[in-house]
Amino acid sequence: MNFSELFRQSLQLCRFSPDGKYLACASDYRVVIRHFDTLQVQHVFSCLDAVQCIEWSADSQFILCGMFKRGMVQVWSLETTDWHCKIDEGSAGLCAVTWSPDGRHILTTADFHLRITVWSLVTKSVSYIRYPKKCAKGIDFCSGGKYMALAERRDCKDHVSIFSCQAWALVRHFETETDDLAGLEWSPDARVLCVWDSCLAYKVLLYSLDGRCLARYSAYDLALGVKSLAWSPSSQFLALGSFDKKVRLLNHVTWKTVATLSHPELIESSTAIVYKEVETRIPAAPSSAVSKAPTASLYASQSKYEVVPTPVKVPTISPATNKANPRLGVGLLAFSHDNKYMVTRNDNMPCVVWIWDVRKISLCALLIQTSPVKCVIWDPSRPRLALCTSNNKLYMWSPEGSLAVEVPVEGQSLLC
Amino acid sequence: MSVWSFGFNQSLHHKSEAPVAERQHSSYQPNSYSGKINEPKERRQKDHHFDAIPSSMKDNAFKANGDGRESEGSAFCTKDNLLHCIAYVNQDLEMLGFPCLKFEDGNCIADLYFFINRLNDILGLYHKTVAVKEDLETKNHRLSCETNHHQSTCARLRREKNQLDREVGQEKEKTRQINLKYKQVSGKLKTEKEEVKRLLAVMESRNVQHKHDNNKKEREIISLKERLHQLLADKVPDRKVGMDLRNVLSSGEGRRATWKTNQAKLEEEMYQLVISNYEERQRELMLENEDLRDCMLSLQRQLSGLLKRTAGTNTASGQKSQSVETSFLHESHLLKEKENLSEQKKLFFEEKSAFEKERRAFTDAARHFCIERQAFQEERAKAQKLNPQNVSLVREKHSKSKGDASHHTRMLPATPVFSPAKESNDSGDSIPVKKLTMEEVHQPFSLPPGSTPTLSVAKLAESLSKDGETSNIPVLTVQNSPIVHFTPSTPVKQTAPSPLSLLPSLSVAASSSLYQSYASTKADIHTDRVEEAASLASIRAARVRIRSATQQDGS
Repeated sequence: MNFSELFRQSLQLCRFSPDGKYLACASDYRVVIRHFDTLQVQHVFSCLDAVQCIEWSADSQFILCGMFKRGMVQVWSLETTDWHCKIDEGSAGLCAVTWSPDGRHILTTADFHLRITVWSLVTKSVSYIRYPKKCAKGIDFCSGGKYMALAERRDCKDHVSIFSCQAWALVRHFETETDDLAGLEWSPDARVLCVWDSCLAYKVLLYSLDGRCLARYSAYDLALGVKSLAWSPSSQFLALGSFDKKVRLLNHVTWKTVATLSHPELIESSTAIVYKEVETRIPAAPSSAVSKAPTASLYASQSKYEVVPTPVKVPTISPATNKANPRLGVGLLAFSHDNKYMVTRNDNMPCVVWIWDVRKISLCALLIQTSPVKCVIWDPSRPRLALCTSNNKLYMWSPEGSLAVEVPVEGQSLLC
Repeated sequence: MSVWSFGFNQSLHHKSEAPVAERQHSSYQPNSYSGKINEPKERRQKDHHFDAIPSSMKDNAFKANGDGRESEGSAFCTKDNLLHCIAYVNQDLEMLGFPCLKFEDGNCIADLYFFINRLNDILGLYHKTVAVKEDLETKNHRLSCETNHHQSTCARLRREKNQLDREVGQEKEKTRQINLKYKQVSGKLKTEKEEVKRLLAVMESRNVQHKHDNNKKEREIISLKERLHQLLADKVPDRKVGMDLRNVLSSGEGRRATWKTNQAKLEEEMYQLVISNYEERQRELMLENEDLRDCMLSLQRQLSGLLKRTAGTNTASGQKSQSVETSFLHESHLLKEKENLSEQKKLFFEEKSAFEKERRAFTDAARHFCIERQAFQEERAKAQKLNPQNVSLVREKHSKSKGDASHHTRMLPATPVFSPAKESNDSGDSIPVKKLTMEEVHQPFSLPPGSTPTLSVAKLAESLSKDGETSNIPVLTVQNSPIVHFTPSTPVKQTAPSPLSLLPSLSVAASSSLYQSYASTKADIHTDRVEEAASLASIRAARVRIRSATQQDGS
């Protein structure tokens, strides 16, 4: 396995382009575009201020850099490097910016979610959308880019507006039955819009394209509700992760539970494979040349996975009950892109990643790490999972097995 | 006159042991004793001689006249049977222990006194017996009264006991029911308590969440106020707000910018989309329905077929049915085995082809390596001719060169530690692994079946690091000595793996062979490695300069 050398970045702003040809990396006020394969620098763009957000357009032609402190967005073109675009929100400020699916409109959200401005790069026109709601996920574009759903809050009530992305006109506007809308998401086949309430009430509502409520789902009352949500890529299942440490799968025909997956402390399943990370402190062989590397690197800990037979006890922490948004419940939920596997993480077992087989709806693998898992991502082309736990190692899982690799870091500066 | 011997009985009612003919006293009626004395059947069983006594006498013997009168025709003793009577009476007297009538030549010597005395004796005996009898009768009476009393008390006590038992049973039943109720109620209480606890916890968490949200909102209000204050106080005119665009873009795929169509058209479009979605969904569901129906029908057919077969064989004989069943089982097992075998065969063939490809890839890699080495040697020779002095390397700066195709980034190796899901030696199990790596056939390495590659990978990595040799695979070691930069020639680019490949580990045989090939082919270079490295660097720098020069000339 080969790793490139270290590249500078800030705020973890590294994005691959949608067509997979380039990697954009922001460090302070500079944005560096590299070729994905050779990692050679293609372009370097210098922005006017420290960049807080970078986003590729859908056709990978443009990249926008958001500078929230200055309230500005700069857009760069990859093909014509002398083309430039600068959007200044002025005193309205900027708290979020995103592309539209056609890659020719930019939506900026002003400070305090005062308004959303749609800037057109084609006609130089501007449209305003008032009363957007400040929530975890207030805007969602459907796949295919035809419609945009926006969460609004008017007169202390939640509404959803559906805009047509071609004409940027309001197509539908309806009130939702939620108390405090926390997010909305289109199904991957763009037939259904899922709207969920904040964690104070377990309420998941499903609306059709024209605003009719198709179904309501609530697993229980009063206790804290939905923490995470994910559609399966075929839109057949809707997975709801909640604060009661369970994941419920709803089917797309009747919107009733197909299965309830729980995260118990003792795993007794005989079909699941449990990988436990084992750290060994072995002296790594130093490089043969005279090394001035600090001695710590000589004794770096190596990790490997051990397959542990069931029954297995899962390490748990009990969260503080007097804090809001407790570290409890299923906070991470994602389907693999081939729809075969699903990964979850129960936040009061932060070192454990659960991988479920969707066809059998049962636990298929379990990864027990030594430190809390920070980021878990599926490979976009095959059933492979990558995760990291804020140490210097990278972990991967696939149905054939899992591996751990230490990301190599150069010990010293190399040359004159 | 015969003298009869007879046993002397102590008691009146006792039977003798000598076998005696039972005396039949059917005509005996003890009227004077009011039936209290037992019947005479048991009495006097010693009386053998009564057979000799004429029946008239027997009848009259115990004729008890209460008034003592003798009836004329029924006297016991008459002239005729005097002797007999005397014998009879003597018998009794002897038995009772009184002196008997004495005989002498047919004359009875007894006088009146004798008879009176005898009579007295007998009367005394009689009185005694009567007393005894009365005594016994009273005792009997008393005993029977007592037994009656006891029986009645017994019956009463039994009744009482039964009643008490019943009451006890009822009480037990009541207590049992009460216990049951108590358990239920305590269970309910427990659940209610738990429910209360849970609700309290929920309330607590909701409280906390509400407070947190409130705090957030308050903070937002504060910052809004700040901003408002700032804006009101801000005397500076607004800076240029808006978009500064160099030139407008063309939209996407050359689409014309559409006018703003009216609401109705958009709505119509949306509804059409909704309807088409529904139609599609309905089509899918119908297809699924059809499939399921077909499946059900086929299952039904199979089931009915099986039932018919088993029913048919059942009429024939039980054994036949059993054999049919076993034959079915065998069939199914055989089919399963056949399927397994065919699958395994397929997998085996796939593996074989994979191996072939691997081998070809290896040989290609080795060939490329040889070519590279030769090319490198030639270049070195050329460079040595051209540039004798050393040129220091320039470190690649990411902000510097643009579009320099020859400028290749360094890659740092890392050995991943792989844990397979199954640690078996079957070829079947590890085939999926093979399949994965088949996609990366351009890589010269792939995972062998079933072996954990960590050791081999580590070994090769070590060997590579020891040599510090560059290869067509961009695996380089990081050293503090002058860096070796190797410019791969174009054929190698195909074999260059993507930076983050999953399983680039080696098979044991392949690694050893590769290592050997490395060792053998670079035996001559091994000695003057450092100078080589330096000269490589110089070659590279020269190349860079040449290329830039040509570019400048070109532009």
